[in-house]
Amino acid sequence: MKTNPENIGSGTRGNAVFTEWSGSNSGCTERLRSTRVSSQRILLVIVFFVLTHPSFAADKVLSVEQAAAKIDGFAESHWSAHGIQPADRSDNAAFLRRITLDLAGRIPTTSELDQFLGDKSKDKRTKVIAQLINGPEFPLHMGSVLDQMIQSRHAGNADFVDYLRRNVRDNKAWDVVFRELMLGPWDTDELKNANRFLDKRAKTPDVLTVDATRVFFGVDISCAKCHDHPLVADWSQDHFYGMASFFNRTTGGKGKVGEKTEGDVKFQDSDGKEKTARVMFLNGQVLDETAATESTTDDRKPASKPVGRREQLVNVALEERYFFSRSLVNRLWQHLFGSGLVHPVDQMHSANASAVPGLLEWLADDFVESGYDLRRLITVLVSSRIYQLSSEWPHDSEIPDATLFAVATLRPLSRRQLSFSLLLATGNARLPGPDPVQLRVERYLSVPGVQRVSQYLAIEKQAEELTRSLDPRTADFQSSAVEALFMSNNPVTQNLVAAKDDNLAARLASLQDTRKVVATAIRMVFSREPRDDELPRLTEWFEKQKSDRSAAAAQLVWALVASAEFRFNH
Amino acid sequence: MNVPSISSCGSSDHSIHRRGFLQGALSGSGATLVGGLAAAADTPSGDALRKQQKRALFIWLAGGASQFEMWDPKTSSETGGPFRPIQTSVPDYQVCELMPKLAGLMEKIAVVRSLNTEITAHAPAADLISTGRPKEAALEYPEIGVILAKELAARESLLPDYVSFFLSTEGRRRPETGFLGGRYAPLLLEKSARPQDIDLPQQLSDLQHKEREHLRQLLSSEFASRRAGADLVNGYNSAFAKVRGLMQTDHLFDLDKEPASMRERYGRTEFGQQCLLARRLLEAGVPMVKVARGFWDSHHDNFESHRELVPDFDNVFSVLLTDLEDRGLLESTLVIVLSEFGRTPKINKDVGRDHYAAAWSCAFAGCGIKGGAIHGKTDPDGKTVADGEVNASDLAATIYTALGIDPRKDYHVGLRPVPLAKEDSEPISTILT
Repeated sequence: MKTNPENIGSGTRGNAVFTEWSGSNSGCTERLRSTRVSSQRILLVIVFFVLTHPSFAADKVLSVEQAAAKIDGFAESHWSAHGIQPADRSDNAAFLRRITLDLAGRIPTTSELDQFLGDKSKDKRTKVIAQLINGPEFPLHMGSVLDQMIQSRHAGNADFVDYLRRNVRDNKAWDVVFRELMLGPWDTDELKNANRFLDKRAKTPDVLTVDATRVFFGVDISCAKCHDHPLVADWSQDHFYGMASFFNRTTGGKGKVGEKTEGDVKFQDSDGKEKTARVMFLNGQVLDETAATESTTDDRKPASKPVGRREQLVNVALEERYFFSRSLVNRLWQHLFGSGLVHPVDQMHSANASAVPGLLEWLADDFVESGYDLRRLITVLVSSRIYQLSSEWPHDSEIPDATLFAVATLRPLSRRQLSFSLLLATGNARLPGPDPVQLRVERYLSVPGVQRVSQYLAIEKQAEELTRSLDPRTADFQSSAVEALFMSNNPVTQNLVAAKDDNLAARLASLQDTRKVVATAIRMVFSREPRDDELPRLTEWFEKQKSDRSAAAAQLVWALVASAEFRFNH
Repeated sequence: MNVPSISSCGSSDHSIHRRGFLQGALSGSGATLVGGLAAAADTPSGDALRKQQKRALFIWLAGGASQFEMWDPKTSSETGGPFRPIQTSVPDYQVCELMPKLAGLMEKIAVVRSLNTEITAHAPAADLISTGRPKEAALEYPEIGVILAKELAARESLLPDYVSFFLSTEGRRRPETGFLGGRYAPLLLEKSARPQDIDLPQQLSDLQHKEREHLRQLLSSEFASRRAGADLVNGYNSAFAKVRGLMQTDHLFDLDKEPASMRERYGRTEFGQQCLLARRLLEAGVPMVKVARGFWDSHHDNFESHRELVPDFDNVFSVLLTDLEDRGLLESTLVIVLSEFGRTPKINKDVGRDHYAAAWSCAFAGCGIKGGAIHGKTDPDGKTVADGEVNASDLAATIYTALGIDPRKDYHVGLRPVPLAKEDSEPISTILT
């Protein structure tokens, strides 16, 4: 590996004036000087890199079971090192709810619940994982998850989401997706929307630089723009402007992305000396324009044409591969476990150690070995013991810190997950299995799952109004009074719980036995069987209501869908 | 595990809030909390407390009001326009003749005539002015009003911390909470002058509403016990605990509770009635209110539109200041009059003025403000700042300082300390007490 020690934690500190770009220098250097980590950590950094970048073993890719067992090995030594007995395995209903939310973006239906609880086979969790991940809903859900991850504030464009959904459907390798996002070719209907990440940011090159580095490499270098990063020895101004050099020739902003053939980034160091930035990747590797290797992606280009800057970035990142693979693994880990192995997920650097020693590194290597196979990575993660732990802490001891991953932590549902689940739980949307005629159509056309795709997209449309009013799932989630008011009083939510047609409240109202009312409501909304203690209490509550049964049913449904057990993935 | 030092944005801060919420949630059901609100609104001691509490009112003249037809009139034949300057109660200071009432009240108002904020496109300029910072990659700043609401809010209050009006069709901007997150989202009044979702749903009695919430709370708390991440549930429950309190504030939004004479004084315009509503909210203890008045973007017929808009503003703002003072609230309330930019000295072919950010004005009154102070000036044509240039960051620093908030106070976003006002900003000391 080509770490250049000169460029790690060294460089000049000072007020940079980035002549070509927006943004002014800030005076925060002075304030931060005292807290700056000494650049004498260079040595440590090198040791860190060497230790965490083992060369790849030549052995072949492990099976899902082997890989999941490997994860558990890391987790178990981590727990025993901390003298911790982890939480129990989640019960079957809790597992089904969690995995369905994570892989299909919604709660399970009662028939899915019945089928799963009734299945007596030992490998039923493995089976349901396979069913979900190979089912028609996984690409639809995962495409939206990736859209949020890649686009953040620009997320939600249907064309871009569809592009990502097709990628997941076809299990396109993550490095290929990255190449398409950065380089195209954007000349087919299938691919023309892949330029959206660049296009939305092309007009503000510093935003493009910072976002690309955060999303794809797990590193936030924005603090190193005006001065060497004051708190992280790894990042100097050379890194910021080095990364910026990959993007400063990019043009776009109106749907068409291009790249100029000339132009360098200039900045001033603290001595007021103007410097031309070197084209440099995060590991310190400096790229020489003339020595660049020829493009391998597009053989239509004349051989003499120099490789574009973004193409240089893609090549160096995939050759270096650690930043690229770890960032994605860590972000998916955060998605499935609530916080990253390295947390926050854009703070991957030597001073911010991974929570479970060795695990992220191993997972990332395994991901590369597998050929950047997203579907396999997710299958491995959800097959592990650590993913399937209960969120209830059974011991008398204090609930352990989230970084121990010894108990599943509550995760707020995303707006999509919540609005889908609200529609399904209240019986205002349904996902019936395919009818015999549809099945024949699907078999005849060789497009299994087409009916489910239509149902899913119809619910997505139906959910739009709800989605807009709910709190987004953010890294530091906070519930707002706005959502609480919306849930409590808005006609949209009140109509969901009110008895109508054959929705849940209407069905409950038609039942004579109140215990049955309660049990049905709990199964529909909480996706589990009622517990012995809650059945009599809720029955009593229901019978005490002065209103008619249909109004009481609406009350009960509201209390369940607005409760925390429904709002969070647990 | 040495990861804790890398904790995310202000998490210690948030955990303090969560503890606060938890105490609130543990102190009783929604009904008890509502009782607490009623007590706070009615007892004399609550009244005295509320007068000490600092608060702020943003009056946002969306689209860009003309400094020439308001705070910085010129007699130059090229740029002056048809209106004349008139003398004010402050020696040597004149305003446009469209503001006769305010001219007599200038000893209560401070004016900054030397803003140079550079950006002349609506959205980015409004971002700049309302956050006090240039846009930055990887860091989303909250609007100043959101920070003020967080800083000025009384912890135990069940009133909204921030109420923001956007009834007019122009200048509808939702205040961005940026890195502070959804907990600080303002109560938005977008469709009517009454908040959304504070009315009891149809076909539900008050008792039923209370009972189902009680059941919800019970189920949620039971669910949270012995769960990892239970603090999320506490935050969720405290958001719901606010609902009944917010529903009880409906009287604050009911202008029929004001005497007809007061409604007449403010004038029966949307802007006038909103400012009256703003005064009711401020008086009740809402720490941050924003009123937006649209239609200032006068590329055509600048003088005709200002002949309509400015006298309304003149009346409403003067009545508001007098009313706040009569109620003993002006001392503790900072009133800020701002736009995203001013308007060009040059009068265009459509007798309009275009966007101009190189030399324009804004005004302040109330808490922490030296009334009658006039800061900075422009050249005789109003094309450039001649003295005392001020930028958007300085405005932010001035606002924080006037309210007794240290503009250098840091929030922590990840590892990065972020001061409330930009590092190189300076409060405008000449207009501060």
